[in-house]
Amino acid sequence: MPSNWVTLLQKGRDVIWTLGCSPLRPLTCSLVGLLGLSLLWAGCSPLTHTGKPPVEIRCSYWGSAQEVALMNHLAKRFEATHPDIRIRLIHIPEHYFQKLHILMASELTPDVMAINSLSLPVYASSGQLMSLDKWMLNTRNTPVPLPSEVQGTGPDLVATEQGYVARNPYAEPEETKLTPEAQRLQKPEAKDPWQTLKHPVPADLPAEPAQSSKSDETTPHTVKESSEAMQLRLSTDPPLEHRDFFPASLQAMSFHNQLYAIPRDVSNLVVFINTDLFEQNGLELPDMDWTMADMLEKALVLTQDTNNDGRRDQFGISFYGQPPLLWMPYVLSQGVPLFDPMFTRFSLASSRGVRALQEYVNLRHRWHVAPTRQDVGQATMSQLFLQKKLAMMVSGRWSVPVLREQATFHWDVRPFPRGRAGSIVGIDASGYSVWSKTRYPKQSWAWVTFLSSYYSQRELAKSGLIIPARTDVAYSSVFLSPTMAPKSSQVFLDVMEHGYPTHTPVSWDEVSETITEALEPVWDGSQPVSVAMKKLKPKVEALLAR
Amino acid sequence: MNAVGRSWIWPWVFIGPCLLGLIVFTLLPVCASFGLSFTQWNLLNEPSWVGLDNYAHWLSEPLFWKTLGNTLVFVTGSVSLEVLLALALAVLLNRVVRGIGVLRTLFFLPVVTPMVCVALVWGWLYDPQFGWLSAGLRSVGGPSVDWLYDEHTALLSLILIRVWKDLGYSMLILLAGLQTVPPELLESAALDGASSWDRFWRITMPHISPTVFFVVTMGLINAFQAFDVVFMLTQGGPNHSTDVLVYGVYKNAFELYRVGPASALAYVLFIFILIVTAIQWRLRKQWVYHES
Repeated sequence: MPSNWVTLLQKGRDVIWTLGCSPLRPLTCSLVGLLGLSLLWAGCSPLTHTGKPPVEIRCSYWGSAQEVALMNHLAKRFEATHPDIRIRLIHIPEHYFQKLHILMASELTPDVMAINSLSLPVYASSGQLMSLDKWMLNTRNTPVPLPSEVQGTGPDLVATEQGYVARNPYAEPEETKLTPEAQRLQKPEAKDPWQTLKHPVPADLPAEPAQSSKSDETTPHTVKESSEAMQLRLSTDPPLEHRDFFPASLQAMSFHNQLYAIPRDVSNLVVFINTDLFEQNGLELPDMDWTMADMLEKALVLTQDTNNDGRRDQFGISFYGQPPLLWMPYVLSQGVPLFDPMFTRFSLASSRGVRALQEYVNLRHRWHVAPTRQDVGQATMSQLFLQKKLAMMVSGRWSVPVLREQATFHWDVRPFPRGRAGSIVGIDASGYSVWSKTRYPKQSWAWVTFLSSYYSQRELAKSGLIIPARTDVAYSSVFLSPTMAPKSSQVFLDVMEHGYPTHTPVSWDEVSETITEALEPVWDGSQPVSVAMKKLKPKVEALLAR
Repeated sequence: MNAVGRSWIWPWVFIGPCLLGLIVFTLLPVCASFGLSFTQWNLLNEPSWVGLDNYAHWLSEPLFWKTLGNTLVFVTGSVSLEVLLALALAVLLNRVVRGIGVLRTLFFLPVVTPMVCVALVWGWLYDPQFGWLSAGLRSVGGPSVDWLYDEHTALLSLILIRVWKDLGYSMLILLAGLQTVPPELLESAALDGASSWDRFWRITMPHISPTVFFVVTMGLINAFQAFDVVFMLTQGGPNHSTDVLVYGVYKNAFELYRVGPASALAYVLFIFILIVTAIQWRLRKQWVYHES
């Protein structure tokens, strides 16, 4: 060993010795004591019945304070029935995917993570997500059983291979016409999947879910669970099946025909309508199959300068420049997707795409029925709608809780108006994925299974914030509540029949940003759509090729 | 243990934590960023070497030149306006009058207000429909200005916010500088018949020129790093009229996950600041008192 190393070690020893004997000695002793106590505390952490400390599953998600409370409640309930697992929730309220991306880059990815269909391709393609198909009961093509809760009481439903289809989607739910006694008699006795758990739920937790979609009486047990699925599934967890969910949500959460997330909710767009403004202006409410021409006609009447100051202050219809999701219905309904199915061509730049976009821009700059950026300023479309300055607003289910709480007028929803190809909106989904490198796949899957259960989705659906991805919850009275606005909640489910599951390329972030930037002058009316598209096409196709 | 040995090791013990932080959180990322500027990397896949492609990409990208132009306008506009106004304010407040302390405090208040709050408040002040500025202009028959929503006025609007926010800091430093000017020099010049303008230019300014140099230097560095106000209010819009270099670095790295181009852009910014600083150091000998 070189002499300078010896000298250095000796000096280090001297420093430690000096610290130990110096006036700093009490401090040193305190630090050592604290370290000892920490180790003791760690050693005394609760053990499970197997004598091992519980496995910690990290789970990231986004959402409001209401969702935070709900997730905490769900975690508590799950831990009560799974004492071998502890859930550590990581709430990321803003810039969720940026932070998740950094966590992934640092190999600190949560075991379970909330994810949406737009971001899923980039993470699935980079090997961050575990394929979940093998863990589910494969009932993709099995007839869907009617959920027991709505049997005979809800809207007239037909089970098909594509999911539920309403025979008469706008009929008043019959549930309101039944007496409580009749309802009680009509509902079959629920078989509660959680009552068969090894570890009973403590009494202070809320009551168990009333129903499960898969009662033994209705489920044709023709599907065998794979041995791999059986191994991965904890004995206490009822299995998840493909047929539990809307097919469009499964499609949205898939990449290259592999399922990478269990859908939690489905996002689509409808038109929110201030029915009071319609009434005040002598307008009839739109039909369920109204057209874009009908929408323009009504918007022209509803756009007004109410205080006669020379500036329009009440607008017919909302307008969004970004994200693309919010203006896509205007092009999808004209039969124009953004890309071809193979992601090689930018279809929006076609002549039909240019025409469809131009018609959208015309709402602002030709017909003046949609607010410009100057008209809106710092306010959002939702704020304008709440302030009764907007008669019709294209938005999603996420607007419902705020409107229920704050709207001082009557409102309802209608499907997006029909274009040349029909009424077509994009269908997105969000759900829960498992990290491909998790040390605890079995426990992570157990948590995902619980989060995707009837009980969990029903609790979330109670907030009114989401369209549940589970068909049994979506068609239950929790979602289709006849006593709460909007009266036509069924519309959210019906639009899925003709919806277009948003199919995004791996480079979606860049593509979306490029499109948004290029269209900014178009939305302002300072550049024709055709000019912007001519410049945009090669850029987008280069990104798709990469 | 001899005294020489101890004197060798103790400085390192004390500066060690700070040095370690500097190495881990500044020097290593700076070096890594330089290496990454020659790669394509989305943080998840393996980085792939692309040579000088990222730099070539920026030099051939019209948006880069627009962003660079915006940055220069923002830096020049905000620093010159801030220094001039701060100097004027400092001169006005460099008097012994009743309530001067309150006035100084009021002017300094925006400095201690977080930029996020400042941006939120100014965002509403600039609102074309509900904002006080627009309402004020309308009430006196003035033009309708769309402030942040018009590409011709958006950058100017951001400059005004930045000047309003940092004015107090520069004013305080210059005020301290003004109070170092020997009063006997000013008195004797006055007795010799020098006008107040001459006294200011020939006595006060040379004395406070090192302070002005410091304020200009700090202002330039801060203005080049401007990010928060852009992020909060315009996100580079409308039509890229408020895109500045640091916001471009952020957007490429953390929104689009294009770490290679973002690193290259950061180095372009670094080179730019280096050139501006070098010019400034050369010029200081000509106008900063005691430096020639």
